[in-house]
Amino acid sequence: MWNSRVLKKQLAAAIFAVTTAPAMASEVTFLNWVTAEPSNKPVIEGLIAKTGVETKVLDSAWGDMQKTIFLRLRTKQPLDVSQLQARWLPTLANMPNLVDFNDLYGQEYLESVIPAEVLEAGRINGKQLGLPWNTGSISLVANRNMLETSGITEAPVTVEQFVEALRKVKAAYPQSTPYALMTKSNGLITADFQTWLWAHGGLIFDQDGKVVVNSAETVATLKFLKSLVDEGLVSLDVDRGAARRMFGQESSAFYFDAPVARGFARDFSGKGAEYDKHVYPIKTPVLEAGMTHRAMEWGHLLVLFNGKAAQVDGKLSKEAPAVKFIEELAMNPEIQLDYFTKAGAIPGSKEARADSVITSDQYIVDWNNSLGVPRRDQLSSMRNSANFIAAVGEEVQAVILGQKSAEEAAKEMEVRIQRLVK
Amino acid sequence: MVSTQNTDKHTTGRRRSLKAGDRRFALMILIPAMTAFLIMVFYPFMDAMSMAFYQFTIYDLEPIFIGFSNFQSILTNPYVLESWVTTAIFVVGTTALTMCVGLAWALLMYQNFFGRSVFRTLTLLPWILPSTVSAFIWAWMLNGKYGIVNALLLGSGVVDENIQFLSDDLGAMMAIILTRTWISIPLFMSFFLAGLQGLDFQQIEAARLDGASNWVVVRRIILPHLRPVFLVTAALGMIGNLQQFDIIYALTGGGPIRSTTVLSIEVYTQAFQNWDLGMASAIGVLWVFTLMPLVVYYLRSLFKED
Repeated sequence: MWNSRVLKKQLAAAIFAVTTAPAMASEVTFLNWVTAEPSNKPVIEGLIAKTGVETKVLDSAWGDMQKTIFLRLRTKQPLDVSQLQARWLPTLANMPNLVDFNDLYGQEYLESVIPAEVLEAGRINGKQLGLPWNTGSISLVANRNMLETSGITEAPVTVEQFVEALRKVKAAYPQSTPYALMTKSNGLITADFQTWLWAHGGLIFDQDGKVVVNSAETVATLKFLKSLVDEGLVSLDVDRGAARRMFGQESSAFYFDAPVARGFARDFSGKGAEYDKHVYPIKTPVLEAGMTHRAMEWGHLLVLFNGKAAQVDGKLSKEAPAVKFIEELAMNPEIQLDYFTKAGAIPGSKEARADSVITSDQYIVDWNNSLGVPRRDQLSSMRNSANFIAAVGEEVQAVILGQKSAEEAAKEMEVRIQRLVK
Repeated sequence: MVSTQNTDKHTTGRRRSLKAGDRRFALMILIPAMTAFLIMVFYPFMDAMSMAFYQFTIYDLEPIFIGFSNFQSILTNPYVLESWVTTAIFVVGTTALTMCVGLAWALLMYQNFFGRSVFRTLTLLPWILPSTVSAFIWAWMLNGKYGIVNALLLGSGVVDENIQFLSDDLGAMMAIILTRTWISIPLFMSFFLAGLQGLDFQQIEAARLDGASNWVVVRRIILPHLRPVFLVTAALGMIGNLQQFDIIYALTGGGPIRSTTVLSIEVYTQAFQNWDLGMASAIGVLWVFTLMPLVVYYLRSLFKED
C-alpha cells in the first residue's frame, strides 16, 4: 500500500515536472564549413565543446554551403545555427525564420559587446540577421622568405613595383607562379578582379548604384591581368585551396586571403608556427603612389533560425540552447581568443579584440595596416548575386584567355550588368 | 455430347481462372516495385515537371504559378540554347569516340593471346571506380602545373611550356570527353564483345582463304554483324552522356566561360547558384524532351527483340 502511494506520488511529481518544465529542444543543429577542413576540424570541435551546448555538427564544403542551407530549409530538415560568409547575407537574408538579433538582445546591448562597424557585416535593412564570428579583410599576403630570396626588401606600393617584384620572384624561382591569381571559378576571379579594379581607381557601381564598369580603369585592370598571364607571372586553373598550398610550399609569393592565411601556411609549409614569420600581409598596391589602398571586407557570420532550439515554451528566448550556443561562439572572449590562437581568426567581440593576445600579435598589427580603406564586394552584395558574378567573371576570363579584348569585355560586362539590374 | 461441352466449358473456365490467377500473382509481385517506382521516380519527376510552370526562387516562400513564362525565358536566353549546343557536342563527341575505342578494344580482346582474361578484367577498372574519383584523377593528370600529362609532354620535348588543359575552351571540352570515354569504354567493349561471341568464325576463315585483309574482314563481316549492337549501344551511350553531370562538374564546373556547361550543369546552376527552381525545372523539361527520342528508340529496340 505504502509502496503504491509512493509510486503514485513519484509519478505525479514526474508528470508535474515534465509538464511545467520549460519546453525546449536539447540539441542544436549547427551547419558550417570549417569542420569540413581537416586542419580546422579539431579546433572548431574544441570550441563547440567549450560552449557546453549539446550540438549536432553538420559540415559542408565551402562551395556547397549555400546550396546545403537552401536544401535543408526547403526540405524542412533541422537547422538551428549556420555559418555564413558575410557577403552571402544579402542573398540569404530572404531565408525563412531568420532571427533578428536586435529582437533578442537589443541593438544597444549588441553594440556594447561588439563594435558597431563589426556588427555592420551582419546587418541588412536595419536588421541584425548575422552575428560576426570572426572578421577581417581579404588582403594581399606575401611570402617574406620568397621575397627576400628574390632580393625584394620592401613591399611593393604601386602596381608597377608589384609586377617588378613578380618578375624578380620568377627569376629566383623559375618553376613558381609568383602571384596565385585565383581564376578557377567566377566567385574567386571576381574578388581578385574587383580588388585590382579598386587599385586602378575603378568601380563596378558608383556611390549612387549606377553601373560604371565600362571605364578606362576597367580596361586598364583587364590589360594588367592579361599581361600577368602573358608573362607567366600567374597560372590559370588556380583556386583558393591551390593558392594556399602554393603559398605554403613556396611556389607562390603573393595571393589574396583572409587572416586565416597564417593557419594554412603553417599547415602547408609543414613547419607549423615556425613559418609564421614568413607570412606577411601587405597593402594592395595601387596604380600610382598616393592613391587609397583597398582591401575587400570579409568575415564569417553566425545566423540563427527561429526553430525549437531557439525557443523556450514556443517563444524566442535567450535561454534557448541555440541562442546560448551562438552567444558563446560570438561573444565569449575566452572561446574567441582560443579560436584566434589556434587558427588566426580575428574575433568580433570588443573584449576579445582588446586582449593583449590580439593587440601584441605582429601579424594582426600588419594585417590591420594592410587594410587601407576596405570595401564591400560589390557583386556578392547584390540580390541574385550569382548572375552578377557570372557576368563579370566570364568577361574577365574571356580576356585572360585571349578570347576578347579588354575593351570588348568591359563593354560587354556593362551591358550584362545593366540587363541584370533591370 | 452434353457432358463433353460441360467438360470443355469447365476446362476453359479453369484456364481463364488460371490466367486470372497468374495475372493477380503478377500484379502482386509487381506492387512493391511499382510502389517504389511511383514514390521514388514518378512522383518526383512529375513534381519537377510541374515546377517548370511556377516561379520559385529563394525570394518566394511558396511557388507562384506563371504558366509558360519560364519556357519563354529559355527561348530568349542565348545561354540556355548555347548549353543545348554544348550538350550536343559533348554527347556526339563522347559517344562516337567511345564507340570507336570500345570496338577497337573489343576486337583486341576477342583475339586469343596469353593473359587475355587478365587484360579483360583490368579493362573493367575504369567502370568500377566511382566516376567522381575518376574525374579527380583526370583533373590531376591534366593539371596545368603539376599534371603528369604536362610532365610527359615537357619531358619528351613535345611542348616548351605547360598546357592549361582545363583553362581553355577546347582543352576543357576534350578533357571531359576523354574522361567520360575512359569510363565508358569497359561497358561498350562488353557489348561489342558479347556481339562478337555470336559471330560465326568460319565466315572469317572463309574470307581469309579468299584473301580478305583485316580491314575487309572488319568492314564486310564484323561491322554488319554488329549493326544491331551498334544501334542499341549508340542509343544507350547517348542517353548516358546526356545525363552526365558528376564528371563535368568535378572536372570543369561547366567552365571556362561556360564552354562545358551542358544542360545538366545549367539545371544545377539555375537551381543552386541562381536559386531559381522553376527555371531549373523548365530546363529539365527541355532536357527530358532531348532525351525522349533516344529513349523511345531504345525501348522499341528492346521490345522488338522480345
